[in-house]
Order: sequence, then C-alpha cells, then structure tokens
Amino acid sequence: MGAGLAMNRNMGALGRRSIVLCALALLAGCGSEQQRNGLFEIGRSVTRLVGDAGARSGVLGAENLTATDAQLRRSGRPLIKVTRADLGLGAALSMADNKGSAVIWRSADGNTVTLFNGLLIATRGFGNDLASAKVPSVRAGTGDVLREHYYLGGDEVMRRHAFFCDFRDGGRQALNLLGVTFDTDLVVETCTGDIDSFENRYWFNDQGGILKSVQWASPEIGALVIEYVPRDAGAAPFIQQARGPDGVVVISGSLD
Amino acid sequence: MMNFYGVTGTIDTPSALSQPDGQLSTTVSHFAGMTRTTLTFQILPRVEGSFRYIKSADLNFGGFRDYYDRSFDISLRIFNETRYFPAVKIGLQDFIGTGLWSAEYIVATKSFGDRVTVTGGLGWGRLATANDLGSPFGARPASVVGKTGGTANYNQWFRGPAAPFAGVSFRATDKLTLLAEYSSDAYLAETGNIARPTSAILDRKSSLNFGVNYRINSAVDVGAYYMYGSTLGLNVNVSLNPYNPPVRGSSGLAPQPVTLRPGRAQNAAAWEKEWALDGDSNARLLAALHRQLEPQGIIVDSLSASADAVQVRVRTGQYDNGAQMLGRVMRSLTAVMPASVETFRIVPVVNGLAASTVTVRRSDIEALEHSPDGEAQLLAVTGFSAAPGRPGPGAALNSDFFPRFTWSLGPYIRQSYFDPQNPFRIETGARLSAAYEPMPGFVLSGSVTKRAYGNIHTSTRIPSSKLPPVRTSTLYYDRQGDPTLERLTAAYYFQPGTNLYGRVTVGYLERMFGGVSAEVLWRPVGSRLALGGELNYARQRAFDGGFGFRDYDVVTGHVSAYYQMKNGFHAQLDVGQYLAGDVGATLGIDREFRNGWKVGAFATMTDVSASDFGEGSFDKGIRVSIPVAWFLGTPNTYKLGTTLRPITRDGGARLSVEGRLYERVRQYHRPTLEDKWGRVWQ
Repeated sequence: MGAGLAMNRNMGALGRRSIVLCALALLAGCGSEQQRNGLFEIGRSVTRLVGDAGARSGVLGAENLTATDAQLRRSGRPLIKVTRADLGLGAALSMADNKGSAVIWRSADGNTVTLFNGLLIATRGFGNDLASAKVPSVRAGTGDVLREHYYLGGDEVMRRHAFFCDFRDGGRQALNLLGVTFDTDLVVETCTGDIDSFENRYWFNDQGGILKSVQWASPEIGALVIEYVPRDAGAAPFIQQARGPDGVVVISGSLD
Repeated sequence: MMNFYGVTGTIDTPSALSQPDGQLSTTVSHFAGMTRTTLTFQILPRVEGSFRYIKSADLNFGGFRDYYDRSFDISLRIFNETRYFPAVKIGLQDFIGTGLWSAEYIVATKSFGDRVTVTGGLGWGRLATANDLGSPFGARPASVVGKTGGTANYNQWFRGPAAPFAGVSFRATDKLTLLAEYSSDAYLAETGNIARPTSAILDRKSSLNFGVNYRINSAVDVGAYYMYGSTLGLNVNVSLNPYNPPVRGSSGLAPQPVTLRPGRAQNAAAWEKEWALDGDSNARLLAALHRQLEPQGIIVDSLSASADAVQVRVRTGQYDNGAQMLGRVMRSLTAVMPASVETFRIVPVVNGLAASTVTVRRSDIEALEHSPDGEAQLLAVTGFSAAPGRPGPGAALNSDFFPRFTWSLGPYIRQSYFDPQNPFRIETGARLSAAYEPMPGFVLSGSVTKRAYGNIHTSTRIPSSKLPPVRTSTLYYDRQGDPTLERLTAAYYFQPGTNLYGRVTVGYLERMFGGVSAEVLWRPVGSRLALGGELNYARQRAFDGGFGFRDYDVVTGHVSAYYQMKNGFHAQLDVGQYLAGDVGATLGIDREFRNGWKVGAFATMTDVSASDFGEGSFDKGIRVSIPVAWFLGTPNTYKLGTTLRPITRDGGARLSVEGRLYERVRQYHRPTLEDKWGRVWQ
C-alpha cells in the first residue's frame, strides 16, 4: 500500500510533509472543473491543508480575527464573536439562519454554531463537532439537571452522552462586551459526565438575554467563548433582542 | 507491541496479547541480514492475520543469493485474560507459504499491574528448533521448502518437537518499554545447520534477546534490540486504526440551513399550486437547485416536480458518504422548492445509473433540523425504495451538465511487488484522461499514460507459464507500451427492470485486453444479498499499448453472489471461466468499516493443477483500501489502496473492466446508507 504509507508518515512531520506536498502540488495537474480524480484531488486537498497550516491555527477554521471590537460594533448587522478558549483565537460569525429560538451563525470560511435560546446545541465544520444536544434551561439554584450531547464516534456511530449539571448564581457582574459595559447576572453551570466534566458560564442582561457565555462543545474543541456584538447606533450601543413565545429572550434574534 | 515478525509479541516470539480491533500495522524489522516487512490486521477482536515478506540477504539458499519469502500468519485468542488466568492464544506462522518460516504455537500472557506482562509458550516447527522437549503429537513430516508452495501445510501443524519460549515486558514510562525474551528458534538455516547448503548469516550465541521500544506517537514506535548474543536488531512499526481518524466527523464546509416555509395562514399565496402548470417550472427549479448544489460538489442530473412532490436525480464526485450528500440535497430542496411541494424523492445516480430512491417528507426535515439525535429520527421517517426506471414525466435535464465533456491531466503511479531482484518497483508519469457523456448513462471515456520515471519495465524476470500468458506477460506491456492507451471504451448503464442494473462496455477495456463486457446485477434496495452475472469476450491487446491485438481470445464470465453482513463483513463468490480459459471460483471476504476502510482477502481455485499454475499453486491475495477523506476530514471520494498478491500467475485471472455494478450501486442502498447515516445532518 505504498501511497497509503507515504501518506501516513506525512501526517506526522509537517516539514517533510510540506516538501512532499509541494511536489504533489506541482504534479497535481489540471483538468476540467468537474473532474476530481485520484492523485489530482489529493494534491489539491493537501496543498490546501499546508496553505491552511501556515495561514491559521485551526480556530473555528477561521482566520484569527483582525477587526477591532469597534469595527465589529459598527458592522451594522447581527454578529457574534466566538473565541476558542484553549487557543484564544476568535472569529466574527454572522447570522446565517434565524428560526426564532434556534439561530445559526456562520464564519467567513463556512463553519457554523447553532444557538438555541443562546445555548450551544450544535457545531459544524470544526471536526469533532457537537452533532446535536438537548440542553436544560439555565436557572440558578437548580441542580442535577440532565444535559444530553450527541457526538459521531470514530466508528461513525452517533452516541448520546449524558451530563448532570448544577446551576449556581455567580452574582452581579459588570460585563465588558467588546468595549461596552453592561450590568449582568452571572450563572455558572457545572456538569459531570462519562466523557468529560466542564463548567459553562452565562452572563444575563436585565431582560434575561444571554449577552456572553462560555460553553463547552466537545472534548477536542473545548469551550467556546460566545459574545454578542453590541451595535453602535448613533451614540449609544444597543443589543438587538426579542422575546419568544416561550418567554425566553433571544439576543440578536428578531422574531418577525 | 509488535515483534520482529510484525505480530503481537515480545521480540522474536509471539505473545497472547492482541491489537485493538481493526488495527492495521506495518512493521519493518532487520537483524543479521534478515529484513521482514509485515502487514498485520486485527481481523476481529480475537483474530489477527498477517502477510509478510522476508529478505534473507546472502543466505545462498535454494539457488538464490538473497532468499525472498512470502508468508501468511493467523492467530486466535482462545481465552481472554481474567483476574487469575492469563490470555491464551493459538497461532500459525507461514501456514500457506513455502514453509521456511513455518511454526505453530500456543502461548499465554498475564499482565501484572498495568506495566508488566509475562509470556510463556510452546512452539513447534521453527519455534522448536532450540532445546525442545520431545514430540508430543508425533513426528513432523518433512517439508520441501522452496518448491511451489502456496498450499496449507496442515499435515505439519503441531507435529514434531515442541520447545518452550518466554518473554517479559516492562513499561517503564508511557513511551518506553523494556523487553527480554528466551527464544526457541535456533535459526538452523541462517547459521548453516541444515542439510541443504546455506551461508551462515547469524552467529547465534545465546537464546536470550533484550531490547527497548520507544513509542513516538500513537501511530509510530521504534525498537532497538540485542539479538541472540551477537547482533543488533531494529524494528519500526506504523499502526493505524480505522476507529481513530485524525478528525471525527466532517471538517469541510458546514451545510446550508434548512429553509422554513411561511405559515399557510400568514401567506396563503406562497402555498398556491399554479406554478406547477407552468411548462418551464422544472427547468427553472433545476437551475435554482443547481446553483445551490454545484458549489458543494453535487450535480443535479434532472428534476421533475409536481404540485406536491419532486423527483430529483443527483450525483457527486465529492462525497464518499452518501448520507451526507443526501442531507445536503434535502437542505437545498427546502430553499428552492415552492411551499406546496411536500415530498422529496432523491435519486442518487452513479455512472448515470439510478441506484435507489430516498423519500423524505419536507415537514420532517423542517421539524428535525435542530432536534437532539436528529439523525436517528430522520432515518426513522425516511423511505428507501427501488430507483425509478427513468426520470419523471416532463423532467428537465441539466443542460449545464449534458452533454458533458471532462478531461484531466495528472500524475499516475503503478507499483509492482515481490520481484526477487527488487521487491518494490514503482513507476510514475502523466495520465491524460477524458470522458464524454452525451446523456446520463452513456459514457465514452479513455486514458493514456506516459512514463516519466520508473523501474518496473527494467525487470529482467522473464515469466514462463504453462497457461496462456494472460497476466505473466505484464512485463512486455511495461517494456513496450510507453506511451500506452490504458482504456478507450463506450459504456452504457441502464436498468433492465425493477431492482435490476445493467452495463455494457465495448472497447479497449484494460491495458492487456479489449473486447465486449456485459453485466447484470439484481439487488433490491433494502437487501443484503445481491446476485449478478457478467459475460465478456476479450482479446489480448498488442504489447505496444496501441490499437492492435494479439491472437489470443477468450470468452470469460462469472455468476456472482454478494452478501453484506450486519457486522461490516462482505462476502463475494464468483463462479465461472477465467481469462486463461480455466474454470473455477473466487471467494473474497472483506471487512468494511463504516468510514470506508476496507481490508480483505481473496482466493481463487480453478481446474488448473498446482504444478501447471506454478509458484504459489493458486491465485490469492489481500487488499487494503483507505479513503483519503479519513486522513483529510473533508469529503473526498478518492481511496488509497492496493491489492497484494504473493505472486501473479495466469490461473484464476479476471478481466479488469471499469464500472462493475455492485460496489457502485450498493453505496446508495439501505444497508450502506444506514451505516453512513451519522453524517446526514453534516
């Protein structure tokens, strides 16, 4: 399995890989658009991989955010800023779909996170994604609440992982959200489960909307810091929010 | 831990431990002029199988200066380790080879804590050449090493003297393991102590071996050993496990969101059905869907919509996972189809051949997009049925796509294994291929290669055969055929009836044969059983790779039965007449993982006698195929893989025609789609 083994070895050493891949890229050849075959496609994929490895470090898949907080606030459209807690690299995601409670946010390079009333229920395109989730409602003082996450295993079987979570009051906090200060109530969720344990944090504004959160996605992705970008409208920044039929306030989720 | 034979063991002896299920390991080890390259697969949690190639440099045995040997091993763990009792394994080494390396063993291993293992075993054959205890099961019949080989030497198993061996391992740190063993292999041939003349390549001063193994990462470990009191040995192992991909799930572009229809009460106009009366509606909808799907690597062949249902034929050159492609099509249909269309019938097409119909209700897609465990819920409400014979009434054909001409110029690689002068030969160069598809199902295609570098054609091993040289003449094609016309065919794929698939291919079918090939396959969409038949008239092509022919021709064909087992194993039995005119049957067993990894073995027995067949006695081999998508984490249909035959002879040879139906059609049938369904929302 000559080609296969050559490939495996290349997975390890990036330096050597680049050389092999550049050679492959030269060999990758050309063809009509639809023709995707053999070494041609490997060459392309792998060149892309190497290019990516240089340009970014696999946050969200997106390039690290270069826009300043002020620029984001002035964008004039609903945005969230998502940062991978372990890498400290972030991206601005724009709204791709809004079904009221469930909102899909998409990064420039096509990865998405899905928030249900502000709670993370899915990621796509990261790899090792959170496929789906059944999340509890965030209420300080409740304990032993069930949270269910679904992950696709290496064997391609979708598996349910249960977590038991406690919510406690984290107190009143002045939250700096991309340069704008808000008064918030912090709720801290502590979860233990069979594959991992984690702590999520939610900062609520006075209307009950989640302005910022730190939510755990999967063992490999770790926690995502999710911040709604307040929008500069004239002088005063504002948070676009709406109250759904279930009484939950959804930030940036206009329910028209 | 892989030993010098590339099987689970201590240093040069086996142990009763096993690799994780599905593990595929390649081990290269070297000491005293002996280089062993072994491919080992953990076939089942308790069964380990290996294929090995050994070079004994300067052994001067059997008329060869460097002696090369191929061997197969198999072992079975009969007892798992318990608190008080060790794991016990029984194994056969080189059990259908020429027999120089033949041995059998029963071995037990007990672990103490998570750092120490102790192994003790009893070996026969080669593993009983030092300090034996006598022959418990009678004398071992003499073998004739180096003759035709290839038949199971079962009359020798566990016969003759038996000798004990032992080993101990200590995992000092997570990365470093110390090993010591007592070997019962005297290396008689390698020390010049057998009746037939050999040159001594090993000075065996001791039965004890010592060494260290260092684990570089989860895939690679290396070892250095002091062997038999006289020489240094090295060992490198690369192991991959299909269950541990670099990335789980897809890391490509996220799918498009499902688009909801407006409420019927709020916007009654959007739900009206008049649009369906418009004669252009199919063409308009197809164009809109094409715009959505084409950037994602999915081509819409045709579309036929009525007021409340749509049938759409789609194909992909990108998604190795059929469910993922179907999910993307469903999502895009919600964005494109008018609100009144409630039923989506998606017909995946392979080579212009409709494989099945997957039916989903739009309301279900809308309701389940964000549901926890939405994959299982969607599967429960998805229908799988036979592919319709032709596109629906008034279907619009994708005029952006048909007639379609595609071409590519890229590299190719050819390998040749086990030539004693150079066991791994390779050739690379440029391949120009083109295909023209005037209408779905009718494909004219061909390819030409030009060598840039290679040493396959420089081999001087002139093959001789008692059969028509249908495959042993490969070397002449390698030598004389450059540039070569690999293929030039016209192929027509069609559906002769419900659950039936057909193919007719005419032209230069492969590098060595041209002719006519016709195939028919029966497989209901939900069935695990398929039956097929293939009939070919083939004429041997000229060695120069041009348009000419030689004067050998043959009618060859098979009836085939295929069975897809629930545990991922696939069996295929072909019975018929082979290229050299011999009559017989081929049995192939493959284990296919849900992510597309495939490891299998096959054997063909025909009416050609072992002596007429020549070295190897009958055609057999193993095959490995690993999807590139597994490495990259992004959708990709290309696979890395190869078929390894210990030796290629003329008996039991099959025509290598492109577009065989079973593997293609099966990808979109219910059993396979269910296995892949975890990615339907990805």
